[in-house]
Amino acid sequence: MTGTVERAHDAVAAYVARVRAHLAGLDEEEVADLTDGLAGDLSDALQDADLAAETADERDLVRRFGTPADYADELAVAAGLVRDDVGAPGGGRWRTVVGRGRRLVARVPAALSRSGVSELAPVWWVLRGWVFYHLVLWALYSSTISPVHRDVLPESGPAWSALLAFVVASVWLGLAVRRSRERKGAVLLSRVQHVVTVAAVLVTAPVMITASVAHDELVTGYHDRDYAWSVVAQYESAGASLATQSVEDGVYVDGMQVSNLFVYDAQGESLQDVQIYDDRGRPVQTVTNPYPTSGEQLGWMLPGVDEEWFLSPASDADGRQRWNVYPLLGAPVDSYDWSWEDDPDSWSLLDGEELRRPPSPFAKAPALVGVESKEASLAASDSPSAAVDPDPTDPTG
Amino acid sequence: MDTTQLLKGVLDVAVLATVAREDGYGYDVVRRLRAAGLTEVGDASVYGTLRRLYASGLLTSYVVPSDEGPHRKYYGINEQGRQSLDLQRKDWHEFAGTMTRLLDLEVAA
Repeated sequence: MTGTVERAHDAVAAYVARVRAHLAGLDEEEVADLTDGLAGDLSDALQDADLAAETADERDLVRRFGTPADYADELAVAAGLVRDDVGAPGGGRWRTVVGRGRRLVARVPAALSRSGVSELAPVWWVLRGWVFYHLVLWALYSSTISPVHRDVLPESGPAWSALLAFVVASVWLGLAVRRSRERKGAVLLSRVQHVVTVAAVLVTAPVMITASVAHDELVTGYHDRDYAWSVVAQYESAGASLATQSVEDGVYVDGMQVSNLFVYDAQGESLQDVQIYDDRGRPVQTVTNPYPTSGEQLGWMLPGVDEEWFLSPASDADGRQRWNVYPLLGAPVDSYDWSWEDDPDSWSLLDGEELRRPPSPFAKAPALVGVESKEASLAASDSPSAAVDPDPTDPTG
Repeated sequence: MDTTQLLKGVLDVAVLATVAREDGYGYDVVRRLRAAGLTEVGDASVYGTLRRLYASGLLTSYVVPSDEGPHRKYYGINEQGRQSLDLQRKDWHEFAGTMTRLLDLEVAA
């Protein structure tokens, strides 16, 4: 018996809470004034209406009193807190439209609640946290190109912690609003929740689209690698981002950052000073932070070599440093003068030391079949030109 | 005839008159109005009206705690409310008389 009475009281309390929620746009004190004692009035009215308190539930309340939204409207209009837009003198068409819109919007939560959708609210809270996590990431990293920040789920510990924090905050807000609706003073929280929700809804679509694009890029990145040529040069591909989040540039093979590239010709002979560009003409660089002091050209651990190596760029005719000329030359850590380490410009080799070629993976690569030799192709292109355009310096020409 | 529209215009004075007879809480006032014949009156309209009359200084209000359920918010009329009620009563009689004469004249014609 006690249990069923409790239930009726719960239903009444929930109804009052929803009426309050619909009055959220009004002054907090006015709402309190208007709904103080409402629970008692509703309980009495229920008993008078052949609805025994023992069996009354939310549906009975709605049947007897109408939806909380309608009830709240009637309450507020009668109390003179909002104008009855049906007969508002001089209110104008716009007021009427706005009023209707507001009421319509105000009814949505009640309608959702009736249809059981409010049971899904926790799912929405989690999603909302996820959306805000991406929003903040986007704000922080919109200047970088790396698609990792647009990934659907984070891949590093700290990023996971951040996502978790956003989700927890969102769920907390949802719970707090839900709890406080049963008490006085829900207005401010409810407003905060409204703002947060509207913002989240607005950015959900863009975030989802970006995340799915990033995912596509990841997948494509993997496929591209299958078709890459003998020098596997993945320039800032999604595959690279998979390996580490902190590195935004560089070349990766199988998730491992590459220090240097070794190029072989068709006969398998090692080539020197080869410039490598990607399909957009950007130099392909393995070293992204050239100077040890300016961040980290951390020393490279080369296979089979105990000492760390530091690599150096080539220079072009204009005196600019070229980091995409392979294989990069370098020297072991002890060959450098570290006494100037605070000044990147003074970073140099010790006297008597010079740059050398790091150990190559193999002296000779397998020769290719069905490819003309360098000499043959040169000869083939040279001979017709010799016939058409005889050397002007040739005295016999 | 849509009596709900008529009711809107006279709800204030009806509520004032009800509370003037005896203090009452929200639903108690609703019940008495219905018992008096205003069966169409809406609960929320009455509560809102009570609140508005209170806010304009025509009613007093006090809360009575209840042992077995939610507390009750009682309303009673004050001096200003009585003056207002007297005025409105007079207005009503004049208006009702005018309408009655007009309508009966219509029938007689």
